[in-house]
Amino acid sequence: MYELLSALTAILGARRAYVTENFDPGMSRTVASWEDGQPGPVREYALSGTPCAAVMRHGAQVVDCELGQRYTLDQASIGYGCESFVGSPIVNREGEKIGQVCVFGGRPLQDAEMASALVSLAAVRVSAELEHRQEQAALARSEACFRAVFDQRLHLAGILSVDGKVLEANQKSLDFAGLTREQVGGHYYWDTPWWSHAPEKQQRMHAAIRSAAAGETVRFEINCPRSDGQLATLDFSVRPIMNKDGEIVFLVTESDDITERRIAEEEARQHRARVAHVARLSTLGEMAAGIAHEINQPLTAISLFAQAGRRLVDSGNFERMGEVCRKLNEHALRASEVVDRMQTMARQGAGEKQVVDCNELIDSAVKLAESEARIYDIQIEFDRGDDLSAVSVDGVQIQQVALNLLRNGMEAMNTGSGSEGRSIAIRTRMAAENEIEVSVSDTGCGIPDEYADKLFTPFSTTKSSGMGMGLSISQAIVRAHGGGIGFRNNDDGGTTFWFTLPAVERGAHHE
Amino acid sequence: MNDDQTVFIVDDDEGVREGLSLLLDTVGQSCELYENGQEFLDAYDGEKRGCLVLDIRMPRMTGLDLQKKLLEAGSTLPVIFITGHGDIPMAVEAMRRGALDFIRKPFREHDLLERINEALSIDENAYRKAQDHQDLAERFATLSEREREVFDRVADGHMNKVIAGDLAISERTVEVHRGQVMKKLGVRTLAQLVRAKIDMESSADA
Repeated sequence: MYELLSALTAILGARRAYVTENFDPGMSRTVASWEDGQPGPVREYALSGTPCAAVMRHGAQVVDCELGQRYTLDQASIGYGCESFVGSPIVNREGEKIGQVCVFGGRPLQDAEMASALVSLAAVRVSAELEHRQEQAALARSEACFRAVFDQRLHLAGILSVDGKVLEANQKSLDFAGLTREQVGGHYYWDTPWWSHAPEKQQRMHAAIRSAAAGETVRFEINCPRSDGQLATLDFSVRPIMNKDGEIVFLVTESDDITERRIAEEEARQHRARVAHVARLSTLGEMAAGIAHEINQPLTAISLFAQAGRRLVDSGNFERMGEVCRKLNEHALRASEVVDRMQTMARQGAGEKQVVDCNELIDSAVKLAESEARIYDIQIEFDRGDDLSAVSVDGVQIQQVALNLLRNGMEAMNTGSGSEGRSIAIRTRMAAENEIEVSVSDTGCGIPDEYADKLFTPFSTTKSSGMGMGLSISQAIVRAHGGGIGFRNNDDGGTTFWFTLPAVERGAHHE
Repeated sequence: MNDDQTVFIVDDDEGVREGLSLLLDTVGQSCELYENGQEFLDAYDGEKRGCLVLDIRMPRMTGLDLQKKLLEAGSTLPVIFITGHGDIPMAVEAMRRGALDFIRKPFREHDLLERINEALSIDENAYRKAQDHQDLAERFATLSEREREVFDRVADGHMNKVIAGDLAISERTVEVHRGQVMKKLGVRTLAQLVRAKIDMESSADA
């Protein structure tokens, strides 16, 4: 460009020549300048008030003399102190005026026509170059923009080649683990210091990246040491990026530091477990009479067999002693089963989930509830669903929910008129392919509409005893298990309470 | 204990039933076992003698329900209730309705057997008394009209002379009738004759 400008000044006997570009509306800046025989500085200037403005508006312009009189140019203006001006717009491929070539002369022009032709020619000549420069600049800006966004992201992000080498890693991901770009750039992702502390994590990463390279999006939680030495929990994902032809060109990794969220969740879970435990203890307290009766039965049998046994021995009749001892043992075990069930409910419990058979859980809850059912003279009918999927639950908490619903139902029935042959039904079934429903149907008084809204609210109760925590705790437990809880009034009186639990996929391996 | 009396055990708990049965077996007492009140009602013909050992708390038909049904049917079978922890209000109700006693689980053998013996002897006495009643009633039926008139007046404490005047017969005839009455009723003294009259009146009231 400088050669061109220098040649222009020489041929036209001019002082200054410029290639300018527009960058903001009404603003131009010099891309190349030739002033008094040498390259000049970059100038930015407002078009308004200069002959350049006319070029941008109307096309090529020539001012053959008295430039100073026609335009008020001050010292900062690019044409200050000049007599003549020739300018021609630079037009890009789309026909937009993107800048101009302009020449300022110290004397009036001798041949305006030739000057105009030359400058127009020059404008055509630099058009492609200027356009290219502008595209480059736009690209650089876009890249800077991308870089800024990439680095400032809340996620830890990276871009990998298809074979898993780190092409880019954002600042956040580097700062997170206290790394430099050099420590990760060009290395296989699984070999970077993010994962090199644990071989099994490296293997997992390697496998994930292989899957992503095959077109899959992989997401899992993984631990990673932070720069402060703490082990953080990351919600990690890697997914393939495809070009227009559907070929995978990059892999993008993204991780969220969910350590704090996990800690908060853990605290909430422990809190829930504590509340549930207190509620269970309180329930056991309320059930003490029934449980005592339940234990008293086998104790009575044991006492009777022992006394009879003593008489048999006293009379020298040992023949039946074998049977007596077998019975003693049988009833001792029966008593201990009751104690076991009670202890299970009384245990604090770590609140950990295990994969279990839902029918077995409900069976235990039914047996516990039966101690009270006897007092109320209510029959509990357990309708075991066939072919239930397993559930991944904190067994004690789910039993607590079932027990709570059964006890509520029995209490509702007991307030009504007592009649022989009352029964409460508990059912298990597959409500959907991946959902198990447990429902408890009583034949009690039903739930009046005015209570329906408040049913699951803590401390709302219609009973004379109890804290009104049962259903709200049940709801918290079921929701924490990813299920739902609700009720409906039955057509023939009474209420059905139900809750659902997500089923464990059949054949799925549980971690 | 004896052979013509049976201890009927009604309890929903198999262990308790079997234990009671074995214990009674060791003392030579026969018993019958029933799982619930209905089963007993279906099997019991009202003729068998003995006593009822009844669990107060059973599903469907409680011990109290069964006691009520038996009372309505006129049963005199003595009832001992088996109660557990916290059944005291029900036990009180059972006693109010005439239960002999209640024993709490687990039982002490001594208490249990003593109560059962007591119940069986009450049943035995009631049986004897009923037998005596029937005997007396049969003898009474053999009295002639005139003899009955004399019996009533003698038992009421009237002198022979007064009775003779009353019935317009001779004092001697009263004496003959009186001797005949005592012979027919099998009594030897005036006191026994008075008691026979009381017995007859009480059975007429019943």
